[in-house]
Amino acid sequence: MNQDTDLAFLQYCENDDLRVLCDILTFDHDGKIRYSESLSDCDSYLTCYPDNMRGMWQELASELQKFGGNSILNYIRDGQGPSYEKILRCVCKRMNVEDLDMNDTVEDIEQKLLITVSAKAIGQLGEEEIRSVMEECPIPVLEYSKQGLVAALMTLRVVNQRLFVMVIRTVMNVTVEALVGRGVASACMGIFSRGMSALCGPFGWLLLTGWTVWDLMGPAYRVTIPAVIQVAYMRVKYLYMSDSKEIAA
Amino acid sequence: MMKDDDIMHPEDRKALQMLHKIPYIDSVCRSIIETEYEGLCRGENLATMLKASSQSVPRVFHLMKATCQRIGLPMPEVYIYNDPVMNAYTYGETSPFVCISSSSVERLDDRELMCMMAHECGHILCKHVLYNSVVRFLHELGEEFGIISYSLSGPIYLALQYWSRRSELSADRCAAATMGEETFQRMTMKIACGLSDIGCDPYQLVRQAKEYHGHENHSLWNKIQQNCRMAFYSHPQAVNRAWEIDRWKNSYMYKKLRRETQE
Repeated sequence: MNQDTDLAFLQYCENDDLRVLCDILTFDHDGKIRYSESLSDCDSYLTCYPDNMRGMWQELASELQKFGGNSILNYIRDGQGPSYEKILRCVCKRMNVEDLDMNDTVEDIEQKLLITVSAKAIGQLGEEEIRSVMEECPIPVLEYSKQGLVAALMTLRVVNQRLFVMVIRTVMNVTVEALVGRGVASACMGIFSRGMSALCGPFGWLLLTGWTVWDLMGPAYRVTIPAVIQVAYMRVKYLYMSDSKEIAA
Repeated sequence: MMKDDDIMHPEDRKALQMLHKIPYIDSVCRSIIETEYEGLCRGENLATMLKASSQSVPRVFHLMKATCQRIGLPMPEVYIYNDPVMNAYTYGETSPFVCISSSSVERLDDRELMCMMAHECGHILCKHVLYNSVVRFLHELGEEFGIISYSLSGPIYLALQYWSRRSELSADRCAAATMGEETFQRMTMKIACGLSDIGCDPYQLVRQAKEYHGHENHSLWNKIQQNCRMAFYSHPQAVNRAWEIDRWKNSYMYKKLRRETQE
């Protein structure tokens, strides 16, 4: 595996969170096994899943990296995927995360991603769901509205990490599946629109074939988007827990 | 009660998922089995083999009953056929049956015979028979009847053979979960060599598997040779079967199923 220090924190994460990450990597949202996954037949999966997920954190990290890379390039890289930071930046680009800077750390980028995803998710929530999220998390706000929840989220990121984690978790529980589904649908639309270029004659067909093969071999966003969101959420939680322990000590 | 998801090898599950995507595959396979093979095979079994019952070969009948009870499967009909090769097979979708060779009945002890039966029950549980009929049908259309070109049916046939090998691993998991991995290893050793006395070490094939993998991975040429040879097999090599179960015995699912089947 590529020793990626940005993913080393996975070894300290909670079993349930790692299990969710593992399930994202091995099963699709219908509960069907992913054709391109290679995790479920490895020795560590057999030994560790589902009770001792920390024992297979390296395999989880490696699988995420493989999904994040182009299969041909992965082969050239001796079966390894690109760095996590590169995958994260690709996912952010795909999810239209704004205000990204080249000097941002992985933590900064992930938090921006989480806020963007949550803001989109909040945009899909109904009034009742907004109210239930805000009531479930003790958010100090004046009005139960989408704008109010997004504003609270951005403030909490700096002011109250515990509440930030809580709100992110609640929002993700409510809507992340819908977002992931939409990500897949938009990727399919890309392939469809490319299909129209088939009308351009033999040169178009050649171009189309190469393009489609390259795309099929490319990063699997249907996997990396939810997986990176889960990793980002796990890191926020992990950082909050480590800070709490330091304060307690 | 065991479920197909509990024992299915990931590659088997992937292949079945892919097959399910073909429209009407279930109904087409089912009608092929019902109209062509099931009645034919049952008639042949009744005509040429010995059917096990509480009066005739009661040992086999009672062992099958006990195996099915452990798995939670309705008991299929069991037939014994005369063959010096230790083997067994299952067929049928609406009323499945299991056929066991006479040498298996003679040379395997009770636990090993139940293990062999559990393997066949694993095929029934995972509905392998249904999709295996596609393999058989394509093989006949391509090679025997020459209706479709073998160059066309060949690659599909090879792909289905790959699935067939993976499906055997799922059935092996059923056998190991029902009777324990050690019994499974002993049974596999006996089938591999055809002897009833194999000594007291049941893990020889596992060690042999490591040696085989060393040989296979020694060079690219060795790898190509071994893979080309294996591509036409319907069953995985004995060492790989032993090795796969040796890996699976450490899994959460194996331990869970063992607890359940022992209760």
